[in-house]
Parts: sequence; C-alpha cells; structure tokens
Amino acid sequence: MVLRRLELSQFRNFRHVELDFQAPCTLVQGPNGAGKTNLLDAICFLALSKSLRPQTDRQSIHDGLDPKEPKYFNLRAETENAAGTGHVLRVFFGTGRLGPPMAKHLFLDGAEVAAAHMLGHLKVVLVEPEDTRLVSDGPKLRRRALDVTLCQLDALYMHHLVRYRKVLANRNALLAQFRGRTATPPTAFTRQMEFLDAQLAEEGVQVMRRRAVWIQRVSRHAEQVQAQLTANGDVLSVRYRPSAAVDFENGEGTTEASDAAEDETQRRQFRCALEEVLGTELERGFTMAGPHRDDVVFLNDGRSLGKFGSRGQQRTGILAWRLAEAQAIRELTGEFPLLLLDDVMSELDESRRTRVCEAMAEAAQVVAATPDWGHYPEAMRDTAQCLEIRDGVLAPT
Amino acid sequence: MSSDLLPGIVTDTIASLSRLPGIGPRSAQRLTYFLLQAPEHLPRELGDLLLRLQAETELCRICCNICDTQPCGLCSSRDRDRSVICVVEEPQIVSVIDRMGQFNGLYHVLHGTLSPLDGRGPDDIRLKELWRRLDVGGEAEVREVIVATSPDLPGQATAQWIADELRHYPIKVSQLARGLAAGSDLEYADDVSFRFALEGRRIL
Repeated sequence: MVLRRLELSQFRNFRHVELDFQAPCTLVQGPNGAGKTNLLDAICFLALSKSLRPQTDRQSIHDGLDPKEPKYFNLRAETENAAGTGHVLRVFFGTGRLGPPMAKHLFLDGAEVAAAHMLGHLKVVLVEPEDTRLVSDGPKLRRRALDVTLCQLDALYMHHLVRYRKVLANRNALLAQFRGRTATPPTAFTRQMEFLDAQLAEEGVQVMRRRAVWIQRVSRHAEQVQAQLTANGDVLSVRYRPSAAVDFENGEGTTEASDAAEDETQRRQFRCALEEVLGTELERGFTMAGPHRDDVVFLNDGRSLGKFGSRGQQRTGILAWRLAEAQAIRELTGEFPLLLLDDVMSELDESRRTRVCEAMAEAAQVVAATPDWGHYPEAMRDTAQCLEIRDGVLAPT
Repeated sequence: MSSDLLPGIVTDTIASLSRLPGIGPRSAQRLTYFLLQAPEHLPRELGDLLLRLQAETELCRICCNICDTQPCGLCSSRDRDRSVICVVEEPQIVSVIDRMGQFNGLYHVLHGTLSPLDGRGPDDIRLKELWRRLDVGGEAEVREVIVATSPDLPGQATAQWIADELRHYPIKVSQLARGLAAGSDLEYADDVSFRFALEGRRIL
C-alpha cells in the first residue's frame, strides 16, 4: 500500500498544498518551523483519524489572513495497493452543513464513516525526535505508542480496549464509593465487583494477549534491525511486562486463544492478580492491576536502555524498534506500512546514518523530513523525490 | 444575547426549553419564536397538557410502567400471558417491544441500570418491585424472565445481577440475542457484530 497523493487545505501553517508522490522515497528539507512535522502529522491524521501532536483540532486550523474567512481544515489522501486499487481518505474539521458547532468529519471513498472504519486503510509507522522519551520517560507513553500501532492493525484490539476502559471507569467508581470501608465490604459491593472483575478479565485478557503477541513478533525483527544498524554492536531486547501476572507463552503468534481452556486459565490468572491487590485498591479507590498499568522494557546489552543508554543509543534503539514494527506489519498484513521519518538522523554518527538508509531502502515508501540535506547521502537524494519546504509552501528542488 | 434586547419572559422561555433533551439553544429559540406568534389555543393546550402530564400519571404498582389506572392496562389485561415477564430499562422501551406484537407477556420497568459510574446501585432501580412479583404466593406463577436491557456495560451488569438473584428460583432467565442486524447482508457486517453473531449461533 502506498500513498499516491496528498492534499492539505488550511491545516496548521499550510494554506493549500497538493503533493503527488512519485518515488518510493520522498525527502523534505526545510528550516525549523517551516512545516515539516505538520506535513507528517497530516499524513498521520489521515491514517489514525486524529493527530499525534498536542494541538486540538480547532488549533490546527490555519490562522488565515482575513478573520471573516470560514474556519476549517481539510486533509485528503489517495492510496494504492499492490492490486492497483486504492482508497480516498478525507478528514474535514469545521462547520458542517447543519451549522455550528465545529466538528470532525471522516470520509472513506466519499462516504462519511466512524473513526473505527477509517483506521487501517493507510498504515503508518512514525519515527520522531520525541520517540526517545519512549525509553526514557514513564510507561504511559509506551502504552500509548503500543495502542496507536495495534489500533491500526486490529479492529478487535480497539473494540476490546474501548470496552476495557469503560469497565475500568465503572470499577474505579465502585471502588471510590466504598473507599476506606475495608473491614467488611457489603454484598452489594462484592456482587457488583464480581461482575466487573469478570468483565475486566474478559476484555483485559484480550488486550494483553494482543500486546504480548505483538511485542514478541516485533522484538524478533528488532534484534535483527538493531544488529544491522549497529553492525552487531549492541543487542536490543524488548520485553512485555504485564502488570497482572498472566501467562501468554503458550499461545505463541496468535491473537486468539488456542482453546477455551487457555482463555479461561488466563482470565483466572488476571482475576487472581486483582484479588491480591483488592485490599490496597479499597484503600486507594482505584484499580491497580491490568493493561492500564502494563509496561514495555527496552534492554541494551541486558541493561535498561532508558537508564544506562546514551542519547545516541536510545535514538538507535527506538529507531530499530520502529523499523521492526514496519517489518512486522508487512509480515502480518503482506504490505509495508508508510514509513514517516521526522528528523531521525540528527543524533546519529556517519556510519549509523548510512546503515539507517540501507534499512530504509527495504520499505515500500518513505517520507523523511530533515533540516539538512547533508543528513542523507547523495546517492539517495539522486533517486528520491526531493522537496523543499519554506513557510508552509512545498517546492521541488 | 443581551438581556435588555428581549423581554425577560422570552429569554427565560428559551433558557427553559434548552434544558430539554435534544434541544439546543438554537432550537429553543426557534420554538420560542414559533410559540410567540402561534394561534392562542396552541400554547394554551400545550401548557395545559404539560401541567397534567405529571399530575395525572403515576407508576403502576406492579410493573412500574407509566399509567393512569392502578394497576396499569397491561397488568390488568386478561389476554396477556402471565407466565412471562420482560424486564426493560425505561418506559419507552415497552412501547417499542409491544408495537411489534410478537410478545404477549407482561413487562417490568426498572427505570435505570446498575452503573457505578453514575452512582446507581441495586437499591436505586426498581428491582425490589420485581422480586415481589416473583415471590412464591404471588398472584401468578412466572416461569420466565426475559431481560431486555441494552448490550452495553450497565445493561449487562443489570442482566447479570437479575440472573444471579434468580438462580435459586424455579424461573428461566433469558436475554435478547445480539449480532447481525435483520435484513442486512453478511458482506457488510462489521467484525464486532459478526463475532457476537458467531458466539450466539444456533444449532439447526
């Protein structure tokens, strides 16, 4: 699957941009603040039906010259798969035909659809400068990154995640209601808890199994990519750390349990974990075990990459992880996702840059933004579609 | 909208109407201006009906549906099958189910679901009234309770609560099926509906 054409109107610092992708690799060069990240985020927006940046949709509307101009932005993408057919994805934010309030509307091939139906038609893997925070910061970012990837790949993942969060909110509300009354929880509490625990385990196990399988799959590729990037220097290993001790080792490689008995065992393990923390939960008033407290650990030569890795090592490690995700998506779906690279070369030395370019060459399509042409070798610039971006205006070089 | 631009009664009416569900400030304004210029009998009738709406209705002491006679027409009917009770969340669901004419049993309206998030527990909905109907020695022998709550989390929690409570009664507890929409093509079914349909498949 490749992105053939992109059109942006009134989005962030772009007035209007039309871009036809003519080569497997597109390089975009521009100074800070020219719109490189906004261009890549527009593509992510179309793929994920929401932005990955902190701006709200309303804040993403171009400031405009005339205050009386209608306020909206419009993003449009044409994709093409191996069979030669494709889709048209469109995101519109603004005042609809029925008048205010402003809202986001998603269209797939001309028909308005819900976000769940928009996801997965354009698969992207984004590598950005902030990615190093994935290894250095807390687990929340790692869970979010995992969710973003898995929601693109698996409609059921999103379904179970959304349901899990609803059950969790209800369970937390019930815990808060009976907070502090640890002595003898009344039967109204225990019986409602019994139901919520069963639901939490049902959805939670589905979410956790999909995470476990995915991390296992990607880490196999990541070890190879890391070896390629570092010329067998560092060994990267990535491990899933579920907060509830549930064993997923047997169901290797499948998102469905091998049989009902295994499903049942995993749900029981989840519920045992909940039972162990119930006392503390009643003191604190919220749920303390489950996918919402999961973590992923990155190890460099067996030591925590976040704690002991240098900045360059962290950058390389996370880059290896992202490239491995792209390979795992191809293994799973048969098609390479679109690789979006936002200023990835900055902290890498010359030899690593060359090897990153080699790894990039395997992808079906890459869009890479850089402040400096020198980050990419001349041989690569010759075959790529090279564009310059200045103040929200794109021009071929 | 500045308050000195319009008489207070107009702005108050707009504000009051916009408190109704599904009515935004714009619709409220439209309704208010319509009523301002409507023939006099129309607002008079409307006002009269609104005043009588709550005064002349109550909840049936048996099924908790909205009624004007005790017990309600459905509960006192001799043509209904008294061995089946269909449990619903809200009174408006009764008319939805009864309209299709396939169900000839009695109803029970809970007026809500179990939802810790909204602070609603088992004592906050009409469950006690349901148990009273099912107790041995009641007016009729109920053989089945059909739980027709929504397939969302509070609806399911309520269904499970009822099923657990009735475990020791000689009463069958069933739940509405969910899955593929009637009349829709398999080709267009989404993954999630299909999964439910597969789980709830029937032996032919």
